[in-house]
Amino acid sequence: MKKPSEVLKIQGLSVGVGDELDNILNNVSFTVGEGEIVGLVGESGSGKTMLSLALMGLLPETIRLTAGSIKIDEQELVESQTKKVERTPNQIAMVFQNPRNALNPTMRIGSQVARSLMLNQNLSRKESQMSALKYLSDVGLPDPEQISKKYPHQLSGGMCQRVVIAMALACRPRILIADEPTTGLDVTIQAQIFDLIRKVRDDTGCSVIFISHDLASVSELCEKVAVLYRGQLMEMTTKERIFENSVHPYSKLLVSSVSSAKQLKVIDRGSDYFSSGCRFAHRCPEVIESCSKIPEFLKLDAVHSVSCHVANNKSS
Amino acid sequence: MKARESRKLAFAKLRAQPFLLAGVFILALFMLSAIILPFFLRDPLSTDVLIAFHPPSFSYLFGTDKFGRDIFSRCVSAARMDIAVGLSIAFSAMFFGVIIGLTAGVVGGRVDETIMRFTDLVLAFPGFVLALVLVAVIGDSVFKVGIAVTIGFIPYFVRLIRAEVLLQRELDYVDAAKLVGNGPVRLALFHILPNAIGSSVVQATLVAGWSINTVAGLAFLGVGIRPPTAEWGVMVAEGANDIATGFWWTSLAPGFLIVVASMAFHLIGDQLSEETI
Repeated sequence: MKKPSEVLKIQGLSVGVGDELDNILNNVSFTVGEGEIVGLVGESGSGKTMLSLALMGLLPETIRLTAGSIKIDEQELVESQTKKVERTPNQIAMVFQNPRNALNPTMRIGSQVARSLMLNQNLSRKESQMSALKYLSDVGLPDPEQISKKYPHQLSGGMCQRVVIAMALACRPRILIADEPTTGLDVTIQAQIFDLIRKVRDDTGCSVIFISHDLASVSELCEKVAVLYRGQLMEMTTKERIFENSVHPYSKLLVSSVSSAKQLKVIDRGSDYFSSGCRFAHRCPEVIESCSKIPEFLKLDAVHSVSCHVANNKSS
Repeated sequence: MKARESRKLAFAKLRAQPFLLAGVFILALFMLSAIILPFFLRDPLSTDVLIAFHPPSFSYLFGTDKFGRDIFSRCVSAARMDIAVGLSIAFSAMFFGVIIGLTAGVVGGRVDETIMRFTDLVLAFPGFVLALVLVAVIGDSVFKVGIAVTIGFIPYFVRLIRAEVLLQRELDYVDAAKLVGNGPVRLALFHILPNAIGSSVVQATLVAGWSINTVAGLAFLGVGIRPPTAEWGVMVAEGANDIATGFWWTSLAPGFLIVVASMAFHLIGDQLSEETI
């Protein structure tokens, strides 16, 4: 299989709160190919959302990006001096977790989408209003003319999410970040939104980063999966490998905890065990001496990278 | 068709809230009579010693004062001034308060800090005393009294709007709007402000009532609006001397109207605040 060209390349991204340098994200590196749908999974607090906020340049004031580079189509987004992320809407757009909160309650649907078009596609007011209707029907909303005159509270959650996707698409992004876009929606709507995301990818050729803690939806939608744990990227490979033969102990436990409805095995030896080493070491069933050092994120083969001493020892 | 339906709904809602309805009715009555009646009544300033201290009767509904001026006619013309002054104070206090509060909330940091400390400073003085001092400094005239009272009410709006802005700007839709490329000014005016202004509008109706009280109170003390201008506070002050001599009607009607007018605004404000919260 030919490797698609890289659209997003993240290298050594670290994010810290306050004086800490990398307690939120530690040296995260991965790439996203053109038209790929990459799932970003991890438990609560693993840094999934912080990673997406960092990419969008939306980190809260107290949380800083301390190191690393983010490149989209070879263009660096991180300013070297200030470490601020400067993105344009046509590089990365975002679909938010709660569609109701992501729409301005006092603005009509049509004008919100039209505004996005006006800013990003250089259209006049008239043109953007016409084009907004097209976008609304593209994301599968029936009777776009009626809907464009409505306010967000008059729409259902699923419809709102479609509008949010339309707004993001109006930016013509290279990368679409979807931060748990279906958490607030019921299962049938979830499936529809997944279909929509896939259709959007096929139509516009953008790559999608799908953030979720729900492995079932990740397995349904994504082609590649990246596993985060406490700010470290543990493993990244194709969906099939993650679910069938992952090599990182955490990924294995994570998958098995879902497939057999078991709890993730807790072997807690205190959170400061190996405070400078692998962040999963304190729960890891296969922990060894060298885990006191942070494992490098190494390639096993073309589609499989992992940061684990145990897994790397086995493979080499 | 849609418009008529929603209007019908609005009326139905109004009918379900008797206090709101009462407030609106009283205010409408005041405003209508303030606008129309002066064209049919005696000049509020014209004196006639022959009919001085005429008790309330059909020809002089609220009686006459010591100069023989028709109190009803004076009350109506005062309603014109007091309600206009009350409303303009409320609106201008809201206008400036919203601008300042929005700036504080959106810009944040040192600007916010400076604005809020200054707001605290103004709030440290009771509004009435502040207005009293300001009028003494900048001078008497209806306009200047308006400014003085407005300054006292601005901080309420600043605090209200800032708190609301701080709440709103953390919400996803602001980020979403920012992400599609809206600039900071547009973000503040078209996205944050419309969602933050609700409680300030309610506050404005309450402030309209308070400022009628304040302006009349200042006039009563002889600060700001002066006799012979027809103004409720002035009239109460003038009539207060007559009570001891048995001419109770000279201050009764204007005093009563102050109460009713500010009550009408508060009835509206209270109901609206229940609605919005």
